[in-house]
Order: sequence, then structure tokens, then C-alpha cells
Amino acid sequence: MAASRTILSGCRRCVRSWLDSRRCSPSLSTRGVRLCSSSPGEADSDPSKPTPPDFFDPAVQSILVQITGVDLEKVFHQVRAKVDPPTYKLMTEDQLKKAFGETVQRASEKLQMPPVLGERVPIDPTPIAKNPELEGLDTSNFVFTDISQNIPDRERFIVVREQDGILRRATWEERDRLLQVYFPKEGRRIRPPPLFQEDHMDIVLEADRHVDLLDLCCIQFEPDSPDFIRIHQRVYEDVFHEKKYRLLRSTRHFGGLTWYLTRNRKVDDLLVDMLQLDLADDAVQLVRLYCMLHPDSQSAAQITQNNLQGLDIVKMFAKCDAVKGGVVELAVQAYQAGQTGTEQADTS
Amino acid sequence: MAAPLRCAVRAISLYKDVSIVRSVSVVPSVAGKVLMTSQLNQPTSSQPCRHVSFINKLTADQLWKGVLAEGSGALRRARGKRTKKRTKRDLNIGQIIGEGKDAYVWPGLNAPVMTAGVVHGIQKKDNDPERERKLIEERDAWYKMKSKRLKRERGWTGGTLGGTSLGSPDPIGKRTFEDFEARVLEVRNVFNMTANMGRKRSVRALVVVGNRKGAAGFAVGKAQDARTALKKAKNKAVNVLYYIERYNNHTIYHDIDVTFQNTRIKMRKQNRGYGLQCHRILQTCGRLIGLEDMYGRVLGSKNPLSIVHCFFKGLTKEQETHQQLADRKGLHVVEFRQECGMRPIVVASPSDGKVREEPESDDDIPDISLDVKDVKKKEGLYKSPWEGIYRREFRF
Repeated sequence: MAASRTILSGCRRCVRSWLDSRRCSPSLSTRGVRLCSSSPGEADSDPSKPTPPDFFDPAVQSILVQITGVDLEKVFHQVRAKVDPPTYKLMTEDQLKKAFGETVQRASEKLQMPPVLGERVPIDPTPIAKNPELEGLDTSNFVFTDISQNIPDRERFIVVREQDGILRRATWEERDRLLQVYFPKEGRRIRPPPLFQEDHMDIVLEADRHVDLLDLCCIQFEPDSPDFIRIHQRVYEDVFHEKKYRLLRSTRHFGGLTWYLTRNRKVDDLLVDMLQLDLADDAVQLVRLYCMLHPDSQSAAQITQNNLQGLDIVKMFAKCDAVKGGVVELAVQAYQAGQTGTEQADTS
Repeated sequence: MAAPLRCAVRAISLYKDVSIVRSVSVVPSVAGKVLMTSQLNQPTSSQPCRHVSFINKLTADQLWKGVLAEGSGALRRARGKRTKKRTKRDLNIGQIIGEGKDAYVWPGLNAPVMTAGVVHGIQKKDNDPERERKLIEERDAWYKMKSKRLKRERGWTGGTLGGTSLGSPDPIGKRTFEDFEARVLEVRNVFNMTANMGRKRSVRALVVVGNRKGAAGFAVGKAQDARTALKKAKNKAVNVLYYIERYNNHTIYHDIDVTFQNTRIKMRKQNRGYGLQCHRILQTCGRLIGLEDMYGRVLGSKNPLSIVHCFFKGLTKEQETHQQLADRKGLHVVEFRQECGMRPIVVASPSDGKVREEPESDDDIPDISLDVKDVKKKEGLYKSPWEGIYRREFRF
């Protein structure tokens, strides 16, 4: 009973305690629910073989935040709302700088990334009790929910009495529905809207409304639910195939996109896109992230061995690990040529 | 026999150069004179005689005057006092010279003199039993057509000319004003006492012109009739054009309170999509200037000329663009919009690039004159009943 209760739990405190209890089996811990960032290598059993860091690693997070960028016009884009007429202020340079600083601060809060988690472990379907005498009592199931106020939603005790008299724990889908009934979250529906069906998503993606779809998905589903992961991957794949990186740049979903592409070794187009937009630093950071996630790759070894810096890292990546090595190399050369051209223009 | 003859000769004497003319045998016509009919070749069995009656001695106008009540004197007397008023009608309509109640063929009048070498004589035709009915029908159709009014554009209301369009002003030399449009604001009668004529009436028209891109002007034209007055005003207004600054081509730069004589106008800047919520004169002027969103309230005198004057004064003299404000203060003008998450948007900086070091003092009590309605609106205690009402374009 205690073990199953901890599986249900999702808050930091409980996850940590659960991880501690399961430290002996690292394979389970990587699949478990993790919302808190822990130091890398916590569950490392073999120190000789480097394990890739997870999404919440501070080094990874700093790279992802840097790659995302803060475009104030995009973060605070115009929304449809009933508002008062604008207000005006007269400002000196210092005041203006301060106001911009505060806005960037607010923007970075808005750009907090949704967590990237593994799929949640299904709840143990074994019956708690079997009461055959209750069989045929009603034509539908009964669900019993603990609606006390001070319990986190993931620890709430919810059981189902089946029609055939079996008492079992509610599945994740049943829990999501019932929690929305008792503790409704704004914008979330009890049943997911048909927008999230595959053929309907195509229409949304054709209209370049990737961000809207992902925002709605974050509201509707829990971050470790299969639907959440499925929809995110679907959108990321569309972005990858159509090369629509600009849509997600400077939004809170860019980190997840980069993480997904890097994990699946699909960063070539993103690198080319960054170099074309003169974001060489971002490209370098992306390759660094690649090396962190794939420590046994050739480029990672070469880069640490030769202690490479700057665009050489990207060149090395193009040489060793890139799927479209030639394209990436051409993009690097084009970028360098453009840089020298502008320098000459500046000097002359 | 005698009646058609008389009719025909009389008609010829009046309308020498027309082949088909209106004529009538018995009823009074425009022609008063009656001629003798003794000069015809046709032998007559009866003695020629003159049928004399008031009906063929008086003109049609004289006869009608006796029947109808025309003028103020006759209206008071007995004969015009009917519930259904009789109207004067031209009974010659539809009548053809030579054709009459007794149908005759008059060669040279309603038939050719000769065909195939044979000279025709005067002959009797078959009577047309429908003739009377056809005449009445034709007459009615003529008057119905005449009474139909020309359809004109509806302005603010159906009855007055205010708000209607006059098209673009006339070109001056080679300069045309095709992109300009003129609208009527007011047409009224004004009177002047002269030594000879006494009370002399003329029409005064107030017209505004504009190209919906910031250039607009207004003028007053005076003439004996409305049409000329409007034309005068329209062509005068393009000579007095103002350029009015608009923020993002849709609204004013800031809230304006302006007074001209006894008229005060309160103008408030609004967001896109708000519309022009103000006096109909301000709406019409605003449209022609190119303003789309503004709240306006006219206080004090509602004289149309004063309102227009006041409006233009406010927009040209009291309005200050962001650039002018930045230059005057030596500071950045920064905009904060709720719909953009209140991020600072620099809309103007000093044009010489020198930004002042010391900041603008922000006292707790702002140095603006407060309006009771504005405060109530801000606190949510007052809402304009006109807010959110959809107005169609043609009303402006």
C-alpha cells in the first residue's frame, strides 16, 4: 500500500523519498516521475561510464535558456483583450534601461519551460478487494475520491468500485477526469477537445499555430501523460520537417524542441538555421549540448581531446557526427564569409 | 361636323411647325382664340355659326382659376374648402391634332394628302370607343411620372441634408481633388433686411471636405438657393485645408479638452476598434480627416459652426505629437499597452539625440484637470449608453 501510494505521488518531497528508496535500481528511477532537478549522477552506479544529464540539469537548462533567447516583442506579443487606452511616461535613459531590465525579468519568468518527463508508470491494476456479493448492484462504476483540501492531487486516494464488485485504484485517465470535476483548473476540459486528434492537428500545424497548440496541450494534460508527450513530439517533428524553427524561437517551448532534436540527433537543420540568423554562439552551445547528451559520440571525444573553442566545435561536429555534414559546413563557411565581409565594410 | 373643323384650324394657327400637337375640342385649352371655319373646300349643308360660351372665350388658366382655390385669398373662401384638394391639370396631354371625338380623316393634317397619285378628301373614320379611357390613362401616367421624386442619399436623418455627400470639389486649374470628399454639415436660411426688398432670404451651407488621410477643411457658403450655397462652400473649403496629425492613422495623440467661444469639446484617445463615439458632426468630420477611434463629448453651445471650429482648433493647435513632446521635454516618450503585457515601447526620442539627465518629477497629484465622468468611468461607476453600438459607414 505504501509503495503504491508513493507511485501516485508527484511532488518533490515524495519523488525524492521514492527515489531514495529505489536507489538500488537505477533503471526504474529514470522512468519514474521527476519534477525536481537533482545533481547529475545521483543515480549513477558505474562511475567509469559517463551518463548523459537529464533535462533539469543546471548546465542543460542554462544552455536551453540561452538558445531560446528573449525577444520582448514576441514574448509580450499583442493579444486580443478588452483593455484601456495606452498610458505614456517620460523617461530618461536610466529609467528606460531599468524599465527594459524589469521587462526582461518578467519575460524570463514567462519563458519558464514546461518540464520534459518520461511517461508515467501505469497504476497497479490489482484489486484491493473483491466483493462478488455487490455484482450487478448498479449499471455503472462508483468512484470514491478523497476531496480533503490539503492533499496534493497526485497523492489523493481515488478508488473505483466496478460493477462486478471489484474495488481497485483509479487509472491515471480516470484520476485526471475526476480531479478536474472536484478541483477544476482554468482552461482544462474534462474530456480533451477534438483538436488533439491527429487529423485535426494537421490543420492547426498547417496554419503555423504550433505555439497555440502546445500552450493548450500544457493546460489540458499533465506533463507526464502519454498525450502530452505524443502531442509535443508531433509538433516537434512538424517543426523539424518544415524547418519552422522561427515559430518556436523565443517561446517557452524552444527548450523542449532543442532537447528533443538533440536527443534524437536531428540538430543539423537547426544549426544551419542558427548560422543563417547569425546566432553563432547559439550554434556552439547547441553542439556542446549534443556532446553532453551523447558523451560516447565521436565529436564529444574529439572536442574534449583537442580542447576546441568557438566555431571549430561546429566544424568538428559537421565532420564527425552530422547527418548532413556538408550542409552544416557550408553554412559555417557562409557565416564566416559574411562576418569577414562586414568587418571589411566596417574598417573601410 | 363643325366641332372637329374648328378644332383643327385653331391648332394649326398655334403650332405651325409641329406635326403632332395637343389639342382639345370641348374642354378649355391653352389657346383662347377661336377662328372661323368658312375657308374650307368641303361643301357644308349647315350654315356656319359661332358657338360662343365662356368655355371657348376664356383661357385654360382663367378657367382653372375659377375652379381651384389658388392663393391665400381663395383658400379662405368657400370653393377651395374641400377635404380632397383639386389640382390643376393639363388636359391637352395625349391629344393629337386632327383626332377628335368624331373621327375624321384630314388629309395634310392627320393623313397624307395623296397616295399613288390619288388626292384624298375629308372622310369619316370609325369611332374608337376606347379613346376617352386611353386619354385619361396617358394623362395619369404623365402626372405620376412627374410626381416621382429623385432618390437622394440619406444623411444623418431622412429630412435634412446634413451628413450627405457632395462628391469631390471642383478642380482648380489643373489640380483636381478626386481623393477629397465633401459632406454637408448644415443648411439653413438666413435673412437680411435691405432698404429696397425688406427681408431678404438667403441659404447658408456649412461643408467639410477631407481626404481621409489627415487633410481636411471646412467653409461656409451663402447663396440664394441651397444648391449654389453648397457648391460655394465646397469649393471654398478646399482652399482652407488643415493637416491633422493622427496616431497610427487611427486616433488622436492624447486626450484633448478644447474651448471655442461657448463650445467645449472633450476628446479622448481610444484603442483600435472603438469607433467614433461622438456628436454626429464630429463623426462626419472625423471620418473625412481619417480618424477611426475617438470618444468625444460636446459641452455648452451646440452650434454646428462652433463645433466644427472648436474641433479643428483642438486637433491643430492643442494637439501635440509624441515627437514634439519628446523634443519639448528632452526625454523619451514611452508607451505602455496592456495588450502587449505593459512592455515599454519607445514611441519618440528627442530628435537632437540629447536626452535630459534629471527625470520628470512625478508628483502624487497629476497636473491635469479632472472630469467627473472620466473618474466615474475609471472606477466603473459610469458606462456610456452608446458604448459598443455599431455604426454603419454611410451614417458619417
